[in-house]
Amino acid sequence: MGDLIRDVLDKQLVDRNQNSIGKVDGIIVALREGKPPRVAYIEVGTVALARRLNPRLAKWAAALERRLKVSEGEPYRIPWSKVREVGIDVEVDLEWEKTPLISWEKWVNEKIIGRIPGA
Amino acid sequence: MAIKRALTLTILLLLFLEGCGSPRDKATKEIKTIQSWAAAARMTAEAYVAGAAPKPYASDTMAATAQALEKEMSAIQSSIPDEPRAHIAAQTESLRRQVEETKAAIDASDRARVQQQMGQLSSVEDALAQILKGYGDTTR
Amino acid sequence: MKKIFEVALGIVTSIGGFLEIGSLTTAAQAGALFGFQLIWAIALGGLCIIFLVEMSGRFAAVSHHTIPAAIRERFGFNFFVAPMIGFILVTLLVLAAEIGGVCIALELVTGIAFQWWALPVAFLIWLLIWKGTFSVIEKGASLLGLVTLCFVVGAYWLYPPWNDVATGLVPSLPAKDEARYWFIAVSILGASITPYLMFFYSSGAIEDKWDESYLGTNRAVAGLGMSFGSAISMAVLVVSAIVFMPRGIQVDHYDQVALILTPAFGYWGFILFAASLGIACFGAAQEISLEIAYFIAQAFGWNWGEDQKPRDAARFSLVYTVTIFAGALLVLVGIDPLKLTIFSMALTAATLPLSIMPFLILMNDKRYVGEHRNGIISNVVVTLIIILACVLAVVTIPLQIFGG
Repeated sequence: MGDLIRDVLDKQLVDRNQNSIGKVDGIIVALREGKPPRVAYIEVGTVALARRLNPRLAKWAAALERRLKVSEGEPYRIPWSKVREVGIDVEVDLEWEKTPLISWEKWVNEKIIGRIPGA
Repeated sequence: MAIKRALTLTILLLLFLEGCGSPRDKATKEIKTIQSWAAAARMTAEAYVAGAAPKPYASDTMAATAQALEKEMSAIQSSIPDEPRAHIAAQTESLRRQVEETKAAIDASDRARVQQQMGQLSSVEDALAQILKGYGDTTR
Repeated sequence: MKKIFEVALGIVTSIGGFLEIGSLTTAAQAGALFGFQLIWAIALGGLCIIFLVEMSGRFAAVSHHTIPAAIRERFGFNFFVAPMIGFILVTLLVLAAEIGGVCIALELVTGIAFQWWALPVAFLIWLLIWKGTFSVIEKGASLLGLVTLCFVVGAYWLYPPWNDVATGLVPSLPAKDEARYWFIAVSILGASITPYLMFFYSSGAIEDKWDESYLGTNRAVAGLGMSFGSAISMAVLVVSAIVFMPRGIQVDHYDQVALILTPAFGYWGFILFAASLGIACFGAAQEISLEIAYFIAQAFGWNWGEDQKPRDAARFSLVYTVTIFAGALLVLVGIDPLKLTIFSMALTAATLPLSIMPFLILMNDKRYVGEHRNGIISNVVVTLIIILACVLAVVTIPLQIFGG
């Protein structure tokens, strides 16, 4: 179990098309009676990351994301079954554009970068 | 870690022995700073006369020097003991005036006058060196 | 043949890109105040950066990880926060100093005060990165940076007493002004051992998809590029020692440095100095702005890369945009660029263990670099120099600030 956390936590996440879509910011483990625990989800997002540092920071991050309408204030969870490969990066069977993981990138694009000529 | 501690101690000891706060050292330091400004101003004037430094640069340098000397004046008032203070202050003030005249000469593109000023600056430098000598500094 | 060309270009660009405001200013001050006595500090810093740049290239080629990503992954995010914030803050100060350097170069040739140049310069730096022509511009700036070799020529022309120069390679205690001496030694170390340089180099290696076949190229570029680069810094020190020390000029103000080359080259010396300063700082400012953005993107797992369109890497573009203008702001408010430079270099030295030690541990971790792990010599040399720099910094910075 410890090995898995070491191997996966904080690794680079890439989608099906090799887009960099974030990091493995958290891991959700399912405890099962009489059997070894199992990774259920990967958590991604500012809130998950902030939670590791400090609960209050996580609250602020969640409030910020809600306020900017970037997310509902909850980290995005990827089921472990979507993980295709764990190598240098963790590749998941998703398309970035179709997940909420793109929402910060989109926000920055719409509000700031996309408005500068030549973007 | 042992190395780190030993190093720290050595350096602290050195600095302590140096006694960097004595009034005598402060005065020496102050004189040298003023000498440095004087020498730099003369070098700039020299370069200007020789055509090695453009006019705006030379003029700006003189302005910056005069300004720095004004700041030095207040440093002198607050940090140097009575005995050499008057001498140093007088030289600093005369240096500042010479620098301003040099600036005026540069602004007027009057190379001959700038050349004269170089002599003036040089004599202030000598006077400062005299004060320093009287103060017993032989390191430079 | 292609490889030889690549090696040559790599070496040439790292020589041309070596000198920047930090190495230039600290070397000039050292020479003016202590003659050839502080050459050892440049040599020591040079030795350390040779090792570190070689390591960072090797790390990229073997592990295919970027350094920030690997540090976060290996030590966890909670540990990583400290080196990250430290690196970003210190590097931002260095960026401001480089922008200041370009502005001073412009002030020297135009007579218009440096603050006025902060925004135009920042805009130009930003525009070139924004337009995505960066790789061309960067190589161009590094090639133009070869103009800094004029210091080497100048040093020869002034007939330095080579014996004294060689003696300076051996560390010795100063006859006076210990506090100043050690503080300048620290700033020199901070100016030579620049973490952004090795991170940037490593990011480049990842972008160029280096593999183990590049290890030879890497060794040549790091070894030759950094040693010749350090030689330019030493030349600055030598010229300064010959020109300023006998005149008693202490280099308290950037105007004073401007005449460093006129005794050797006359009017052209003035132009060469302004050109060297402007080009070197401009190149460095571009690299630093990009490296801060790379670092953050690599740490948080965003798309990054110099050839990405801003629209395709919006957060990455936002970071360098904000960074560049934040750096320019520090210049705009009129902080003395000389003081900013010296201070940020000393701060770099003070934070070296934080930025370098985690990387050094990675360089000894089989899971990342396998059989290409560090040898004992490189570990010991780098560790000792970094600890020395940090201890000296921690002792001398307070003394410098609170008067000594």
